[in-house]
Amino acid sequence: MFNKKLINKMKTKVFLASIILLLSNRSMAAEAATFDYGDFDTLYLKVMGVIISILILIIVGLLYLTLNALRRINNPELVKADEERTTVEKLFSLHSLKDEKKLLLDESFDGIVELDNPTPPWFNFMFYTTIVFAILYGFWYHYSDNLGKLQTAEYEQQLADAEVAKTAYLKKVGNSIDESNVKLMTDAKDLTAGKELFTAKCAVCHREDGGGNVGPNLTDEYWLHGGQVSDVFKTIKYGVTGKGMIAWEKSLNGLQMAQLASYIKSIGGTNPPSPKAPQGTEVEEKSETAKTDSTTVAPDSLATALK
Amino acid sequence: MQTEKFQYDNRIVRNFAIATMVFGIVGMLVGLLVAIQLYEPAANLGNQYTSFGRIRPLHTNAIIFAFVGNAIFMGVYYSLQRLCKSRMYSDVLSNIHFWGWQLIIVAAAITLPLGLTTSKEYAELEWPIDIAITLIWVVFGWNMFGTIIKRRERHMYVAIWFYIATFVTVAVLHIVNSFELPISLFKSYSFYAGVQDALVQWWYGHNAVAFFLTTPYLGMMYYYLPKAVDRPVYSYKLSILHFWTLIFLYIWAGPHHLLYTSLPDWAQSLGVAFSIMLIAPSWGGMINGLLTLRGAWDKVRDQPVLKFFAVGITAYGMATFEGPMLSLKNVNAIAHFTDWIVAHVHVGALGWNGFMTFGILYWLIPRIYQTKLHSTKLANFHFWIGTLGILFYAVPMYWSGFTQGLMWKEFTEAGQLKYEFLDTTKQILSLHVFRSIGGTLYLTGTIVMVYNIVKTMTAGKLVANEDAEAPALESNYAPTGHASYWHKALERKPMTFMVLSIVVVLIGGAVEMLPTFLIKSNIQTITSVKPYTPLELHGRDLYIREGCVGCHSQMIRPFRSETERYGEYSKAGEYVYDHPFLWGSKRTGPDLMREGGKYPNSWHYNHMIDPRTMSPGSIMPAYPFLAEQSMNVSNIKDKINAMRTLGVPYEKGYEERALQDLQAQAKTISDNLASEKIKIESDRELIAIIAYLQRLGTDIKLTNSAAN
Repeated sequence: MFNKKLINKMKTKVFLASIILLLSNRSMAAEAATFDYGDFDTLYLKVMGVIISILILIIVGLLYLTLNALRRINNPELVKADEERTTVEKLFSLHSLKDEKKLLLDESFDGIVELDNPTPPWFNFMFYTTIVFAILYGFWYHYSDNLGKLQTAEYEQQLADAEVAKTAYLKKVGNSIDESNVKLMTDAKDLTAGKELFTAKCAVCHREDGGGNVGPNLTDEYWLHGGQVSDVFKTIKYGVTGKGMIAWEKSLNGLQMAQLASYIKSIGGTNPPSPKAPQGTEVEEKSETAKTDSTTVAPDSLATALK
Repeated sequence: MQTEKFQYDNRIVRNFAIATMVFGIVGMLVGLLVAIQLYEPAANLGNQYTSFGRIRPLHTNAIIFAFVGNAIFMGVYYSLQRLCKSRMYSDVLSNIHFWGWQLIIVAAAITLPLGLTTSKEYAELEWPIDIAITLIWVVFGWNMFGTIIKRRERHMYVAIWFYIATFVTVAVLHIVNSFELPISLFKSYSFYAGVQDALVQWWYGHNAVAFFLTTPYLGMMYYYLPKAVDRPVYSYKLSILHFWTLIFLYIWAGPHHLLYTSLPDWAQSLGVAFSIMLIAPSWGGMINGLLTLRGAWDKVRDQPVLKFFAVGITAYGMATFEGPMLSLKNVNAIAHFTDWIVAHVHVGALGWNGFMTFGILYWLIPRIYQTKLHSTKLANFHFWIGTLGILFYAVPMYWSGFTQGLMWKEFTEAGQLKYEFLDTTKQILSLHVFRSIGGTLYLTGTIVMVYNIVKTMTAGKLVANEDAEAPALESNYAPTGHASYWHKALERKPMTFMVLSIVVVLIGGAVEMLPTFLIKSNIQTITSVKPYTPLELHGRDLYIREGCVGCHSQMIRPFRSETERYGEYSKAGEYVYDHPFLWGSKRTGPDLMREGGKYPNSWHYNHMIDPRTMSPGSIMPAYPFLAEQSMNVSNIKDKINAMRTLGVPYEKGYEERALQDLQAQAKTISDNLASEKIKIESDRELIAIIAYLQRLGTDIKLTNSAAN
């Protein structure tokens, strides 16, 4: 009578566990079907990977519970031992506190005694899982041909993916100002944007008013690397390695650099107080259309050199 | 059976307890100061001796070796005597150990602010102090084994296993990592270079956490927890399993501190795999501790000692789960170099080491003073404010680490870095403020504890020599019953136990280090990489003296976000002349691997005098004193000779020309600055630092443009 009731309880458990199993499988399948892997960025995929691994672990756990419950249905004695324990004790595979006396070891160290409990099965399970993980990890990265990418390969993949994404984006927005097509901008909107950029990025070295500090004076008519808007654009873009001018192409886009170059041209002749002494060669302001044969700035930053 | 009478030495326990409390307060105060410096540069107090780079190591050393170190000795000296039913082997050795250790701490407190440092994390102390540490450690071991050997208890209890493992492993770690070539009384160069130095250092660093902050505390947990709660230890078998697996697996995990660096891939993968396998052995200790509390949680509610233990053990469990997670490459890619790691270690230090220490102090002091704790209320207050302190510390730091780690990696759609480094620094400043509030709460709790303990001490009277008695061990012993279990045989043989644990511990280190040292292909040489010039070498020594490595890495990882920001990723062959390596473990400031040639000399000059003129919002300390102090170049010859001994190919007789070269190079820099209207003598330290910074990472840039 008593046992029957219990068996019924067990059956409900098995049923519930199977339902959860089925549901989780279904939802996973559904999610997998809607994936368009190409569009997702890697972080999202990684997060999904973690979630799926957790789901798999849960499924394995539920399978274990199911099998265990089935075993108990066929073995009334196990059920009886179970009845005497609390839920928490069952969950953590612990002996009942009442049974503790049987487990006491006979030696005492300054009054401390030890119990002869076995290592909990879930602890062993956890340990074995991590060992399997470790072995798979080694296999994944070092003994398979295409599965795990080691850091250099991963890096190259990253660069390739970024290049594709960047090209696609630039094509979409049509923002491709570079030194070959940059034009002097005169709109107040562009010059204000240029001024803001100048204050944020350039002022520490060239001074707020462009009069020069660590970097040269940008308001006189002397230029070290050419004074045309395209020259200024180029100097901003590639920098002058060795002289301390940073290459800005990594943090500013074409439009921003054009705005900045135009703003710099617009402050020419403003004669700020105590400017830095002139450096470089004098450039005729009016020759805007006729390009001077000034020395070109060598794009010798390493990244460019490597391409 | 003859009962023998003897006395436990409580005075030595009391001495270590006082040292623990004093250095705990000192270490935490310095910690608070460095925490404030990270949002308020004025807190560097305008002088070189208290600038962040120099006193951050003072904080870590004070907490690890002074606070935790003394707490270990306190806990071991009390429990070992009782577990062995014997007084410590020798009172003389106990006293040499105590005073020797305090002298080492004082030496550290003097030399670190003076900038005398090897720069290797948690091993910053210079060679004479390293030797002193070795000697005192041997005294400790001698005293400990002497006590174990003359014990009146047949078997060694699990706590003693952990003490033995601690002793032998720390000895091995300390000696191997401290191989250095002295050039003067307070300056030496690491025996290893670059990748090898990094591997040895993090084998040491990781296992210092394991065998100085973890195993002795597990041993103490096994004694003080069952004593305080009066319950049997949950599982003897679990003790055996997690002890041996813990000490075996821990040693392998060091390379997880060097993921995505120039360390060979195979070594990195070993580090990850073994870190994951460490979860269960670490948790074995937590499980055995928490299950010992089973059936006594009502006591935990009433007794502050048990509250400290319960939170301490839980913090241990959290930190040892988080550690393996941080070892996964994709998590590490975000967390490494950020405040996340700082949060991680503080959960361990504040939660596990701090709270376990406090619990032991509250339990032990009333006992050796034969009185009651002065105030349980204050102890409860300490518990709650300490717990709040940990939360206020950890949560903002996790937040900050995550924020900065993601900001570093963010690109605009046009494929450009979204944030400059300085933007990410400014973003997390308010979180640093919260962190220092957390630290203040924790420190307040500690001060309250010291008051409480001192009141307890004055109310009672120290039982310096506590009477005890136990029967002597009989010589003809035949194990029966449970004592015939295989592991019990080991527990009767301390020397065999020690040798076995050394063997178990050495395997992992040997497998990872020997190939890195012996197989050439692991570190590919690059012909364009040349030794530093004498001026650059001198500048490098100043970079080490100022602790720049505490905030600036020299390791560009192969990520697009890093190569776009800093330049080509680092190659193993670039570091072959770096004795010691300076990869760093934290980026409070940007990476400097390819700083050379990025800015003009005048930028560096202005930036060092006052960083905020060139980088508004920067939190870097100012270094005006470098422009005032002249270089001490008297030992440049010794430096060149020492480097040559270590394998750096300076040509024969170069040491004679070194000074001349140094002065000539210094002159070009000061001339260059003069052309920018900056007047500075060519013999100033700042010139050498500029020379070093301008050299960084340029060797392979030259190759590439030449190849073009």
